[in-house]
Amino acid sequence: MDGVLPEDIPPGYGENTLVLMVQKVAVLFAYWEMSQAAREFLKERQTALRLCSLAEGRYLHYVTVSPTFLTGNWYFERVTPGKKYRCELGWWDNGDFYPLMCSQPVDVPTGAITLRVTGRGKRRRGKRVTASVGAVSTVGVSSGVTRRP
Amino acid sequence: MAEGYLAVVLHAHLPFVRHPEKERYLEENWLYQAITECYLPLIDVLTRLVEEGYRYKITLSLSPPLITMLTDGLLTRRYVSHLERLICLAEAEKRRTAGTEFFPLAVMYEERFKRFYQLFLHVFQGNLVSAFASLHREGVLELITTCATHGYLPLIRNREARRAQIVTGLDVFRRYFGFYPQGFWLPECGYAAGIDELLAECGIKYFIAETHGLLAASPPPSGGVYAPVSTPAGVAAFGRDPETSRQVWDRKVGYPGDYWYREYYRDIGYELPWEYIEPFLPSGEIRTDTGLKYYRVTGAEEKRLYEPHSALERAAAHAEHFLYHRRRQVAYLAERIDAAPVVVAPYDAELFGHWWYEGPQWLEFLIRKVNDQEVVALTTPSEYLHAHPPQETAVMGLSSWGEGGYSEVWLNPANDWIYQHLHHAEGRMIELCDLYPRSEGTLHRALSQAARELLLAESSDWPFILRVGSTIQYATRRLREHISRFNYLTDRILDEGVNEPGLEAIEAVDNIFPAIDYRVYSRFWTSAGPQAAKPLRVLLLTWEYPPRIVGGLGRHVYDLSRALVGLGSEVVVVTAPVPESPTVEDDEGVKVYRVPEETYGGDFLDWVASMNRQMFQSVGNLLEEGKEFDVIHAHDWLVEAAALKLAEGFGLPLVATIHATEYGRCQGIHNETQHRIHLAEQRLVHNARIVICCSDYMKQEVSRLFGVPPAKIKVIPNGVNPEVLGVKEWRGFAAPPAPTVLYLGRLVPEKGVQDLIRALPLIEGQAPGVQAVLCGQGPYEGELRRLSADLNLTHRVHFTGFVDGPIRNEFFRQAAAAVFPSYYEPFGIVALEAMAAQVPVIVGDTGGLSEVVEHGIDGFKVPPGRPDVLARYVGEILTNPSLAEDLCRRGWRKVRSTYNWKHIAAVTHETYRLACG
Repeated sequence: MDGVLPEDIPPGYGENTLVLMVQKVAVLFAYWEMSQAAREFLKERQTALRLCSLAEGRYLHYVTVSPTFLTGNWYFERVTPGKKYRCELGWWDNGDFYPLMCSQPVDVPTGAITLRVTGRGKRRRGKRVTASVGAVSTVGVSSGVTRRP
Repeated sequence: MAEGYLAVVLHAHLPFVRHPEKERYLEENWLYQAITECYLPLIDVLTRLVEEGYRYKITLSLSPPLITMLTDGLLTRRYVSHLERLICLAEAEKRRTAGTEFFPLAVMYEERFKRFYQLFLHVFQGNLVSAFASLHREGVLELITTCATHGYLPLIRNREARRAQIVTGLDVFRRYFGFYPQGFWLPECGYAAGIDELLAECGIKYFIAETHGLLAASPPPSGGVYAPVSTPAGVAAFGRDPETSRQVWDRKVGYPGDYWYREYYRDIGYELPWEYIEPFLPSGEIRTDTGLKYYRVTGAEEKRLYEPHSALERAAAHAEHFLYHRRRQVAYLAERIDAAPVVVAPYDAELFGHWWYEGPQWLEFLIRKVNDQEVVALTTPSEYLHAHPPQETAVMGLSSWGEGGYSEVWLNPANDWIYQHLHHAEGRMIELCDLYPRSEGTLHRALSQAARELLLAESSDWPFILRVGSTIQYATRRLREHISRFNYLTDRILDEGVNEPGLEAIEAVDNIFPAIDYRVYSRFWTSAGPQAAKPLRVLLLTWEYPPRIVGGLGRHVYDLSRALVGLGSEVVVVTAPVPESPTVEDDEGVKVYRVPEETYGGDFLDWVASMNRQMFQSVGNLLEEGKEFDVIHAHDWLVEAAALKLAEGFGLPLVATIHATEYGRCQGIHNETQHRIHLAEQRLVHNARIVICCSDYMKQEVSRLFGVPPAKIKVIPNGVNPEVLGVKEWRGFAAPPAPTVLYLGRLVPEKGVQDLIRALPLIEGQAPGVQAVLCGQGPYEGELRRLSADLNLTHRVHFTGFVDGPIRNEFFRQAAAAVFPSYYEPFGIVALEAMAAQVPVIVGDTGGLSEVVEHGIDGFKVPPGRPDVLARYVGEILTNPSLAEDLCRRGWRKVRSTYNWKHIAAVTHETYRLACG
């Protein structure tokens, strides 16, 4: 390798991984990778990716998708703000779903804010509105010099 | 006395760009432009104000990459050349525009560049960082910093990796400025739950959050964003004021869009003939900004000539306008909220002078005008906090100041591919830290460089650029380079063959943070740093200690005591009597005292009380003989009375570990005995200075049951020593000949063994001939035997009684799977022991077991009370050896890193130190 610096990144790392991330209030992103053994294991089975939300201490099915497992990622849209979710990748057998991998749970922001300033001990309460005060349209936010607007 | 405050916070950051391989490099221009157009003009303005006697307060965040670049010899030399070229260009422009309307502007630029040349070289000696430090010493500038490479924390997966960004950033700052800052700038104001704890660990007092980060907090702050709130970890969060942002930032109505201000896009770099301009361009290959622009914004028509005088008048008018609105805003707020309101106005520093040419002048006018009135005063978050500590606590969730308000800018189809690599690298770095808590020579250099590469790859600038599409090739290349270099280095570390020339080449190119400490990625990092101080003298009080082994407690104390001795601590264990065991013993450096047995009539609690009396007596005797202790570490309620009496009587700090609670064991308190035990546990945790729990699950249980504040409870996992299991290294997986499923532990209902028995007939379908071996004893054995008989499984279910040592290890060797289907499990050390013995594990998804096992990664977790689901996973393990091997391999790695007793003892020792105060 002397003198020549490495530049290639592998397509994957050959280990079971399933990660769920929050993109914004109503959208979650999941990516996964499977080991050789896991791929062999799932080859003959009906596989699916499930998103589950936490309700009363248990994770309940929210939505099921069957992506081409080669792609390795998925955007879940229209998730419910304020809830906790986890993703499961597994197989169906006789109507039952068995997760092979589970992601860590994530909390989706509520997206609901109270706009009015009320002061402590004052009677009037601010109204809850379901819009976020989004970032103001900018001339050049962050990494300023590296962006031409 | 001001009615309210304005906190202007400027955040200065550039990604680390340094390319020694080429004399002139396009992207290095970002730094040179920023120095010329932003940092020098700002320092110029701020210094001038100080010289004129103005006392003002502004907060400035300097990112570690920027600090590093501003003090880099190569980049400083190149900057001087850059300025010289600019001066040449301005002189050429003077010649070219002589006699035209552009001439005065060319003169303006020539004078400006020459002035900055003087300032940079002769006034500041090429060191702008010291110029900022000087302003700080004058008391007009509060300096803070941000993450090491401006990593966007919410999308960094692991706590340890987030901490590494924060701690490394703070260390760089301290290295250059000689102190740690009070505040911290979160990159992109990106906040997610738990980040406040990391900041608190580092002594940070405040951070700035996006507007809706505060407004959506729970409960919503009564002062909106106009008073800081405290997060649960005790760090103050200030919220961005949207009004001040809009007035300055907004594309349509913000000040920078004013028609008299300098137009950004009409730069001569794009407009003049190639042959003329080419010598002055950074790379000589493509056209870029030079910084010489002749037009004003003008509006929709054709651009008109820039008139500096008029622009300056506009800046003054805008400063007046801005202040007018702040006065009104503050007066309005002061009537409605209790504390004096603070309007927090954070901006990218590069806005001032680069995007908005007149920005520094606007700031100067503003400071002058604020000085001339008394309604609004300038302040810094630190100063404000000192006079007005937060009155409310709120829990904040995800937020950022990026477009959309969350993480969309850094996570979208243009850049989502990077996270698979970044997260994998995070996990690997953390694991390597735990495998190599100490290292030297080439290994140390490789680990340090790997940490650098990971930090550089995590720069939020790269996904940002990929999203906005400006210099995509460059950003992609940087990502690929850092990730591949990280993989290259860590592959070789894991193979134990670091290539020295390869390492050197990478070190030369990515030389940021020379003093980096890679161990900041360790799960066991503490703010006190490495164990430098004297080891403590520890008294361990425990009723259970080998040869008395009932559950995991005895083994835990045994392993802990040895590991503490390994650190150099003096350890004394005082424990219950055991027939035929010596009353005084030196067990590999651990001094064990078994108290004498009292004969009496009475129940178990009486016996416990008697044992505690004896313990107090024994320790009293030791103290009289001249023995000294720095700390008492009590394990579970059984030693509560002795622990409290000793702590109080002799003034010793008490640390208590709660391994399990009576409430948890019995699923509630149902009788007098259980109640008395519960009270003993309560007394113990309330009198201890610090409580240790083995899992987050237990921490929550203890906090909830006894009302202990979470900050008082430290989670330290149990460790496991593979050698005790007869294992030294990865054996190589070989599926055992017979499908034997092993259970090890007490035979009590909460361990769920009944579900394993019920699962056997279902497993039989997948794995014919499956047998269950149950190693342990307990009051539930009779019931389990009956169940086994009722299901006709007596030939398949084997009760071995209690096993330990080599016999236990042999059972592990013969097992095809280890199953622990618990209903209640504070930790589940047997699961770790199975991983250490390289047996695939299936556990109940409960309590501490849930935290120890990652489903599909190093074991399987099934819902308690579901023999059908248990059967399914056990069956799959038994019939899929490759899958089983995968799980074992990862389990083995986990045991070697996360659950290594050396680390756990070190963290425990650190906890003792904290308790000693």
